[in-house]
Amino acid sequence: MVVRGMARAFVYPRLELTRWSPLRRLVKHRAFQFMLILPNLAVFVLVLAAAFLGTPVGNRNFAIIFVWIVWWAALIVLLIPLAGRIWCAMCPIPAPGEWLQRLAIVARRPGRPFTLGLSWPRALRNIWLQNGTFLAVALFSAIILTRPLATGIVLTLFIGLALLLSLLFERRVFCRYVCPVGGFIGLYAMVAPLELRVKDPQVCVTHKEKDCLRGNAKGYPCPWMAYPGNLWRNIDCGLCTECLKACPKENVGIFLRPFGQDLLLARAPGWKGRSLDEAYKAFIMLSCALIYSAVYTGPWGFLKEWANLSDPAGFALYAAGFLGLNLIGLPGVFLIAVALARWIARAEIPLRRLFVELAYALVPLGLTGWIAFTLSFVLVNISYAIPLLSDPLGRGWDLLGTASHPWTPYMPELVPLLQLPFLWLGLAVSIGLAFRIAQQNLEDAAKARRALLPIASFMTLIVLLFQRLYLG
Amino acid sequence: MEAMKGWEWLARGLVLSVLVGLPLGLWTADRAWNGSARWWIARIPESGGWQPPTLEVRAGEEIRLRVTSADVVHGLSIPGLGISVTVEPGKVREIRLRPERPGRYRVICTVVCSPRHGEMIGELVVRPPGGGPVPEIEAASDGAFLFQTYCAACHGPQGEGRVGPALNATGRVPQMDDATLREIIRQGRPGTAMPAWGERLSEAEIEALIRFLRELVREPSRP
Repeated sequence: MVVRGMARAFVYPRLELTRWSPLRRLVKHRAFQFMLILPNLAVFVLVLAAAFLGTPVGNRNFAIIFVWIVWWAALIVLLIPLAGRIWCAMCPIPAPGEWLQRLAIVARRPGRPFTLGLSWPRALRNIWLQNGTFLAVALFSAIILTRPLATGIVLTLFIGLALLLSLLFERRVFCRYVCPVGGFIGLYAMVAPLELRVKDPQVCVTHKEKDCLRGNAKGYPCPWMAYPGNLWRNIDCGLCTECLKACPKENVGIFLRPFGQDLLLARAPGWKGRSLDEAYKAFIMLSCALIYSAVYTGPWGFLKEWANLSDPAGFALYAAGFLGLNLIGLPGVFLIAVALARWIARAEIPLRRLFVELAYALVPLGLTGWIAFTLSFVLVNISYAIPLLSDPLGRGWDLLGTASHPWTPYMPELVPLLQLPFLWLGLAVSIGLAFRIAQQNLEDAAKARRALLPIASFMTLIVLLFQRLYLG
Repeated sequence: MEAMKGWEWLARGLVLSVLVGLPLGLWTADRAWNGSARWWIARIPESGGWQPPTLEVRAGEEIRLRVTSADVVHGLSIPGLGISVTVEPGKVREIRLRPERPGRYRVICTVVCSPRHGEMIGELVVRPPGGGPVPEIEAASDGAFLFQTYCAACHGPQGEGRVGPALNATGRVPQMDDATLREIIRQGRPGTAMPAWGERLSEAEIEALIRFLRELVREPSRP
């Protein structure tokens, strides 16, 4: 099905999955999201039990292996690229806070929610805070990713903060503005070929009641504070399906679409356009993928020692380098590339504007960089999960008879062969996207082609750096 | 609406099952697998050594001792009871023992685990079944066992040398008299990795070791 015309946003082919009535019935059921959350809540409880009570040995602890290898790999390699923010729909961390706010788990309870209901400060209605929380977690990743207790403390802080914010503020401000994971999921979800959108924006324009915003007997008002009538990008939607339940016009659906459509969007009603906070998220994610590749897969053992807080002076150097590359280094080099592009193209658009616009072209490359980094350790380490199914707390159990399954790296020789196609695919898509964004901003294909040269060079350099780190 | 009430109660029940039932299930599983087992957790001395440092049992009572390492590979050895096992990080080894003879048994690590490896000493106290004071144990007289326990990690199981020098016929032991060997074992070798064992080994144990070293020189394949 091709939807055209009503808004500039939907000039791409879409296949409405929710036209299939069993799926539509399922997602409209009030227990749908709960059914997604419940198994993850059980795993989360097991993770916390293992983190606080299990063995402190990382590779024998359920919390470390199932969070940082199994979940992470599933998130980066499958869930985000294929289904965008689907994890946000099934994440157990904000669930207790939301249930408390609603005083219900699945039912649509009428009346005032159990919260002070404060509005989130206008100055923080962006993802700068998420950039900060992500950097804070990422800086200590060598500790958090290897020590079960640290993982347990961080996850407990997340759930505590989500609960506190739900008691103070309206709806899911933790997910929308604070969660360090939600920030990058949102950015990369814009690549995914799955979207929740209205079928016909014109229906929303003429529908005065706005049940999706206000809620009705069938659905809560959008927990992500989005108005589906003006929802154009996956970054703003947590796929909770409340609007799908609430819409009396049956005008909301879940669609399959070509990859990366949100990144092509230049302007749309009710959307302020590409912004610096999201641009910086693209830089931070790309920098972190590079830094992690260097620290965890590179030959520089001292970097790992520094990141691991073995030596305070070393960690201070690592922290300075880490933050410097994230906030100044990579954006700075990209700024030079954009300045060159602007000069070569004889463009009049302000440099800052072009910098922000073109930064979005780094999103596919960042995602494939993360996929390549994840592949570097997931196949080698995933077998650690097998004994943990029998002995999740490292207490000497053997529930399923797999406790003594040995560590078995799977196809380590294939890892570079899998990483390289992803990196080069990311590069090709990013260069193509940079061209389209340049066209949108320079309004001239010839200028856009000229502007592409420094941008494509920057991107190629990044891929060569990844390649050097993975292949030596 | 009624149907939704049913779903709500079902959801509440399921959440309660996860939040209460799952931890309870874990606790039950642990009881089933570990029951009355006693635990010894090995950590390098810099992080506390054997935990707990002392374990008390009653003579004649069978105990399941579950040993695990919280950091690196260790070796648990109780020379007085003839026990010596390797303990890998995060893996659980089970030792079943029924110590018949009351006394204080030294527990050591037989793998060089850290710069302060030599300080990794614990104690298994076996109390008399009817109560009363715990008698001191006579020194172990099995020099071969003492050698494997205390020396082999650095000097090799055949005394052929590893981190430490060879102690067999190819080394310098044949040139040293008993007094020199005794002094080295007691005081260690300052400036090298050889620790001072004087406070951890009794005179009788040192003598048993020296006797064994002499035999090792004569019959290199003995261990």
